[in-house]
Amino acid sequence: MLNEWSSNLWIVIEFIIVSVVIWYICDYFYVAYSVYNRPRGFDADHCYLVTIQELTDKSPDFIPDRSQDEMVQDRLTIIERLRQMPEVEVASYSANSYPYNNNNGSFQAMYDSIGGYGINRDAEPDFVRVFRYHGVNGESPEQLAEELRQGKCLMSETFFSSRKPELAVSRLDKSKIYTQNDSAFGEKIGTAVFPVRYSDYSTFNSFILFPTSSLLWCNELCIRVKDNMDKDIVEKIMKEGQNRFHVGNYIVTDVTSFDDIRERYQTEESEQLRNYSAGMAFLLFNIFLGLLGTFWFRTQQRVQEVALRKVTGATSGMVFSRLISEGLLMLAIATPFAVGLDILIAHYELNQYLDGYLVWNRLAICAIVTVCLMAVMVIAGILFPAMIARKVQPAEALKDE
Amino acid sequence: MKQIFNELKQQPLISTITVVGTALAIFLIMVVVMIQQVKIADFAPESNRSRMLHWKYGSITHESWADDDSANGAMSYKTIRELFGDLETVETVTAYQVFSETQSAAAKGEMSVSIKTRPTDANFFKVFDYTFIEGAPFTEADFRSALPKAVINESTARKVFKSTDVVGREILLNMTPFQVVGVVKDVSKLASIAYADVWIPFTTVGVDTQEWTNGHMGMLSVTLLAPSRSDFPKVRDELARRLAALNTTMKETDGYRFISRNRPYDQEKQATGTVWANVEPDLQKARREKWIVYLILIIVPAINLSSMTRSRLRKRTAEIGVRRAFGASSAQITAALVLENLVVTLIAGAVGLLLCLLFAWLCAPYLWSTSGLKVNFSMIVRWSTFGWALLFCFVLNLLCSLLPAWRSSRESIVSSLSGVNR
Repeated sequence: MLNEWSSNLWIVIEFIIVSVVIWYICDYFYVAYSVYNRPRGFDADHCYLVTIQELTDKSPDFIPDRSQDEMVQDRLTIIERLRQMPEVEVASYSANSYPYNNNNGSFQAMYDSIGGYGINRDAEPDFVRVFRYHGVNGESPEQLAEELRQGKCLMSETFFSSRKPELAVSRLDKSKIYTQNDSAFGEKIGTAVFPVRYSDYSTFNSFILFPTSSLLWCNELCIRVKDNMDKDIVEKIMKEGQNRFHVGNYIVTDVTSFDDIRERYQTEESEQLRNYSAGMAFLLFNIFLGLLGTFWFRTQQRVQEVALRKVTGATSGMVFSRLISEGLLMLAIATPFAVGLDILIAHYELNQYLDGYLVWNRLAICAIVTVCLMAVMVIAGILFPAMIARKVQPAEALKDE
Repeated sequence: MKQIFNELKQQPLISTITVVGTALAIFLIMVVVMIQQVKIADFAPESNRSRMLHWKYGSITHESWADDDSANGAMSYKTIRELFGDLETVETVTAYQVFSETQSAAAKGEMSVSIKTRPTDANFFKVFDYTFIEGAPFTEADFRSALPKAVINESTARKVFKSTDVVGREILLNMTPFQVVGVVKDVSKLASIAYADVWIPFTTVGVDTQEWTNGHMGMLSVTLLAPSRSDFPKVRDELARRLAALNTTMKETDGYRFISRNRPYDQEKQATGTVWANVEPDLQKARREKWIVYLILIIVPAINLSSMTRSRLRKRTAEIGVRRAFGASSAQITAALVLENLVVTLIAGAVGLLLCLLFAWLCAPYLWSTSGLKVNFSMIVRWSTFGWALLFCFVLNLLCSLLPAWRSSRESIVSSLSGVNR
């Protein structure tokens, strides 16, 4: 080992750099996986977005001078007809509220002197049944819908802080919650609701949901279809889009499943994950090739040394395990330095954020995975040259000596 | 040269590993470049991306609002005329609805299909060069008179009419009759502004009258086409003056004020942008991340190759000793070894490029598969990619051969010839 210090030092440096790169990618995956698997706070399976459009005065079917009351009635007729379909479990109008949606406004409120904010959602009470929101104490979507019907609004548990449990909405004295325009705002707040994440890759989950004051503001119509009744629902609604669902000046122009909406919304994140996976596979393969090449020459150059060892009694197995151990020893030497660099990267917040940058248990898990991956590559890279080395015939190798 | 190829033949395994390692590195970095390029490269109908400046959203605040309060979103037609009307430094300005919308399309008496419609002005077709299979775009006069005319893409024509020869026919969009004036080739979703199935004058659907925040905000975005990139500072200056004048007028009339957030953005900044209208895209951060990725993709293979080169050269210390004994200088030997390595790297580079081209040809439609996008070969493979490949070969070669070659050439002749290594 020491005789080869110069070239070994080079390999150790290589191990350190590669280890840091692999750790960084592991950390990225760890964060992405953890965030993805955290509770979303909503269930969009079997849910569909029904697009409603208004005819313009250029359409021969346009009814002029429609009053606001008539327009509201038209909208109610459409949703009622949807509810009557045997497949539809529940339907609701909402504004800037459905998941995987960039349209939003925010709402600010104060608790004593502490400010909080979240996404402002306006919806019909049944909205919480469509996406199956739950209260923090296990309240069902139906119970939450009932509170909305009574005029209460629903605040996410994390409205004032997602990190300080003492500021969880369910623990607060609601009478101390107020807004700029309403000092008694706290009285309108109902049950604290389980946080609802913005999307599968986002940790932001603070919101307030108001029962909508006007259906005319609602630009979304979402439905939940009964389990196992999704088949042909899109075609069925679309077929009636300009007949049964043409009410007043409204028509249904599109029905999209939330599976598709989710996929479209998260395209960039999904593609980035896939690209990182490909990049990691490439780097590992490259390291394998590099080690294979390096150890190939090393072993070739050390044929005489190996032969000498054999002459002095070393078995083929001992030669083999010696070469592998050398690689692993170098990895062991490189690892503390690499972990030091990992800590430095996390300290300077250059990695991913998930409850902090330098989180020790996450760092440990990712470092262990990195070492294991590196060890596999080291063994794979040395295996072939080492197998050649164990077959060295001492008489042949030492004939020049 | 002959010696280099003999050297390669003598060590088939190592030669293969070196070539495969380098080729893979070049292949991967090329793919990364291709993925990046799709967002900013010129391709039809966004052929002028390099000359475009975008003002997708406006940001507005009011003197009675808190300091950091703002409303962010698309702008009204009124604002667009005041801010972008008759600009002197740009070639063309186009305004279009910020998002395309899902509408129903049908031939009279037929079942309808869902399509994406983008309401635009007439200049839209001057800024974006669609390939017309039939007909022509709607005109400025059509736009001003709000005549229901539509340009549709090939797929919609086939879905609705089962033919592309449909100019002059009537298409029902949201049950409203429009006359088809042109049929264009389908557009990839990667052309995020130009993409839609149907384009209609926004005056026909009332987008020009949809406004809020006292008439300042609405449904429209703007793209400016400058004569060249070098004119961008002039355009920005003119827009800054316009914005300042507009803000002065607004302050006097209703107390509102637009915040520029350093708009307009060029294609790179626009593509970097988050979906949020209230945040200025962090181009520096995006660039830094891009360079870190490139750096990692260069450094890891370079270290590996360097390590291999070093091992390979150690085997040849005796040969180097002989060369030096016969009068070759360190510099000559270093140059010869670097050149030798450059040849190997170039061979690998060629293999990498071939792999890359093959990949683009076979896999381009699947590379962006999660987006269901149409990508074609010409969109992602361009001459600059070849330039990148060559530069990458050169950098990789220097990184992995210079130091080992220099060290080998500085070995003392005696120790080289005796095979003693440091």
